[in-house]
Amino acid sequence: MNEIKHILIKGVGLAPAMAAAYLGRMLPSQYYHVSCYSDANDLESEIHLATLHPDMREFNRLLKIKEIDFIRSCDGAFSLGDKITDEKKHDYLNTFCPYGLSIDGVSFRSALQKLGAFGKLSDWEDCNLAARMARMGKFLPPDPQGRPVIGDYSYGYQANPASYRELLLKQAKTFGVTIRPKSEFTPERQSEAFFIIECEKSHYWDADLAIKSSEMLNHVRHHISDEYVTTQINFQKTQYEMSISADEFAPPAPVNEAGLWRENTLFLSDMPRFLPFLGKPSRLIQISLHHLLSLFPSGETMDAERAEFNSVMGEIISRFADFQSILLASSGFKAQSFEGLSDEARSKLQVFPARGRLSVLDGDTLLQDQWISMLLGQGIWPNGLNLMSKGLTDNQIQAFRKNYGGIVNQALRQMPDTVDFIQTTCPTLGSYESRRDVH
Amino acid sequence: MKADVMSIKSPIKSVVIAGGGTAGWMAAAALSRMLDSSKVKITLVESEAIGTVGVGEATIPNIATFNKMLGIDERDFMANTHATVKYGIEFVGWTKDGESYFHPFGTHGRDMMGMSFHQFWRKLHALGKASRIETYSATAMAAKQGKACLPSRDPNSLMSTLKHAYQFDAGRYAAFLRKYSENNGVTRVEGKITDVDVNSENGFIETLLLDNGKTLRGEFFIDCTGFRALLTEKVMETPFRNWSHWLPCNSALAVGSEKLPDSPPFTKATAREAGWQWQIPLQHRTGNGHVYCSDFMSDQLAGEILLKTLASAPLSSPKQLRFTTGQREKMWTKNCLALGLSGGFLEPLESTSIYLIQAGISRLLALFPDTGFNATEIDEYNKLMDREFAQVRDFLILHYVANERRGEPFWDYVRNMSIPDSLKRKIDLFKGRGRYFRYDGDLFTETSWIAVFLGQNVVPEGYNPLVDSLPENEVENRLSAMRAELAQAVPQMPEHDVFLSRYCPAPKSE
Repeated sequence: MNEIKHILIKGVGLAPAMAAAYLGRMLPSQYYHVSCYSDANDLESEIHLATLHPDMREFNRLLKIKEIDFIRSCDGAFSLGDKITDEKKHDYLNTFCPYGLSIDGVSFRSALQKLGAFGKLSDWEDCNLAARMARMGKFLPPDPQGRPVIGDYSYGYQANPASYRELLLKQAKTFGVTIRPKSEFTPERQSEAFFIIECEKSHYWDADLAIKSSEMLNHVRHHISDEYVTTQINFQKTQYEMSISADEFAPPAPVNEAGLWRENTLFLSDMPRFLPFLGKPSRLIQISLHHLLSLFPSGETMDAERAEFNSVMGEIISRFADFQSILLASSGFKAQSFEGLSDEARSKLQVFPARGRLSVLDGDTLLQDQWISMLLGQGIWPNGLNLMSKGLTDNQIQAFRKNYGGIVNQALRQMPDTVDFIQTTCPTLGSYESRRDVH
Repeated sequence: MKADVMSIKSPIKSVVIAGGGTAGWMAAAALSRMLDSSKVKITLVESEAIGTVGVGEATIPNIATFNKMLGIDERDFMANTHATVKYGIEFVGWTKDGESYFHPFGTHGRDMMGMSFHQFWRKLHALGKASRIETYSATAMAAKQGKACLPSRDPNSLMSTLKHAYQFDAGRYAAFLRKYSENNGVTRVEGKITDVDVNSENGFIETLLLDNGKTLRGEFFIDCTGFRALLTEKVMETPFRNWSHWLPCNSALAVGSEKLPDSPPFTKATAREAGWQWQIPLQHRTGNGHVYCSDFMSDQLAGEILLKTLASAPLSSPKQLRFTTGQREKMWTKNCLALGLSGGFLEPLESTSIYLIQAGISRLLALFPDTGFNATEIDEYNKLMDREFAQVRDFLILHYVANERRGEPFWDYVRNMSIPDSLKRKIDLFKGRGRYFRYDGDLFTETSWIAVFLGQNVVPEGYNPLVDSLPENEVENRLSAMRAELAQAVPQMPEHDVFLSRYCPAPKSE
């Protein structure tokens, strides 16, 4: 008879539900039993987890959650990326889609620079199908055959985290996970546990939340002023605005020196607080769970696994902190200054403006083009050309752009409006609040 | 914006490459491909009187990316360099005499449930229900059976996992790239560098003086002068980071021998008393060499061992090489970049010498300077190259430290030496449950690390507990099916020599 090891998850909100479903699905039931002691969170605290990175599609697939069921039950909408605006009404899009295609081994970015066309943000954005879709309010999933351009983009979601939590817990039950309210948790449970995932409230925002009139958008909007970062998140039936003031904001602190994984406990609560740029907060929980499973201990000794996990996650968190810090500092957001940037972030800010170069470092889970979009969008422009595009003539680049633009335009013409697509394929079962009232 | 932003200076108009050979001509080819020759003059100076080391006749698969970047056709390249297919390396006697293992470039088996194949293999192997891990690798099995072909395009077939590099004549590769570069506008100057003029104010190199009286002015200099490191060491005085306490071999004897009757599609590395011996089959001859540590073996004995153990008749007397393993503390100083042996050497055990040249060039292309030679970009380059060297160093050390050749002083030393923390962490992690994490930019794949870990008898105590999610008989069936697929497909591949004669025969006149 095998000895069953107990995995204990406790906390509030979406994170413990993600952990319960994922561990319940992946850990062999003949050796492990997962229990989750969890309560729902306030929407004000949870809303920053309402934007979901494209990788969450794979997460759901692994948990046997069909996309249509997810969208319908979570009041979900699609997200092609983020739109950033400032006080001067200047805006740009940052999507989950690469820009253009490399031409004869030269990156599209370098080719554009050679052409001197890097002078306008619209030239850059025109070469991104997802950005064009977002501006025109169109949506269609990428080409399943993966053909270039129409198969190159990706999408995430905007979904009610409270509904998503319920869906995950329901799924976790089918994997044999014991689900209990937090009130039933006793300290004995903790001492019996082989491994613990702790998801208490501390890393969540307490945001000012305003409910606005319903509007269907296929991207997330962030408005950054010197005093506030306001994020607008769109579900099918409801739209929320989350507002963080400079007074409340503290730049993400480095992870506890001992790491997120200490002793036999993964402290997801110690994950730094990030704003919901590009679906990152939920993505970081997902990445933590993925790496935990890759390194999951089976005996009492877990030093090597713990050290590796903390090292990898430390890098990942630092790189995203760099991204957020540069974005906010260059927006003039008072609570974030250039002086507070890490060495890696400062290095990027020195190298990129010269010739548009950018090194992607270990642990960077952002696409290179997402970095570039952010830097260009924030007004950090390369002054010089990339010298490495000799083989390409201006005519070649222009012809390529024209051809590329033609494919994009044709694709856009054939795409339905986002609203129509959702209504046709996966209309919501109703907002979370209205369904709760019915029950 | 308050961050310091680099200033833009005028573009570089002249690049001087000091030294030909593999590094020099690879740099010339890449720069001539990517820079506009009407705006940048590229000059390479070399002397026929100075021999080249001809480093790295064996390669790793990444070189295909470099050739592709140059637009070079694989068949053309293989024919012109008398190349053979290399599916990996056979390590003989590295744990103890009589034992061997294979490090393939293609993967082992198929991953299951998002988990690495070797985790499932480890569980069954401990139960006596799985054969050696290499028997699940299409690449290793093809190599062992002396077969070669291009990978299948069917992603569902294990034959799609075939992955190859090349074994080629490095001298011919340099000549091939010379022709390519000269066609692309590179100027070759014959002459020996006798002196270097340096700007007295900023220490930048300005002019190379040659023995024939010529002078070469330049704005950016690439030092490809091999171990002599004429510019990097003698002019820039860039210190060398010595790693001989970790990689103590410091000598090699190299000799060509006649072509083997059936060229194996792999490199062989056989452990010897104080080092190891390579065998690299080419289309027209076989490359051989004995790498050893002179503190533990005399040159004479090393030469005797080499000649006594050749698999075919030698074509000349062995050529002696001396080296110190390590790298420059800075690959790039001011307007001088060290490339190839002038920048560092980590011995040829995993055929990484040419790769490190390629990595240096690729980083240079990404960070090509202007006349301002910005310190941040130079620091970035040096940081990235430090990381490349450290990764390769750790992988090489693993081969030595995990040996079981007890009672031989050299092997006893390397087994007991202290190792870098970065490698220790990898070993500790693997020893537990066979875990390996590949970071962005890591050169060697999980397959490579697993092959060498297991080959060197670093066997994990357990396996990832998630493996138990799949019933044991299901895993057993899947592994059996993989072996059956390979047993059916590999024998149908053409013999390596037959494949070469059809795909890329060397020109008959040569």
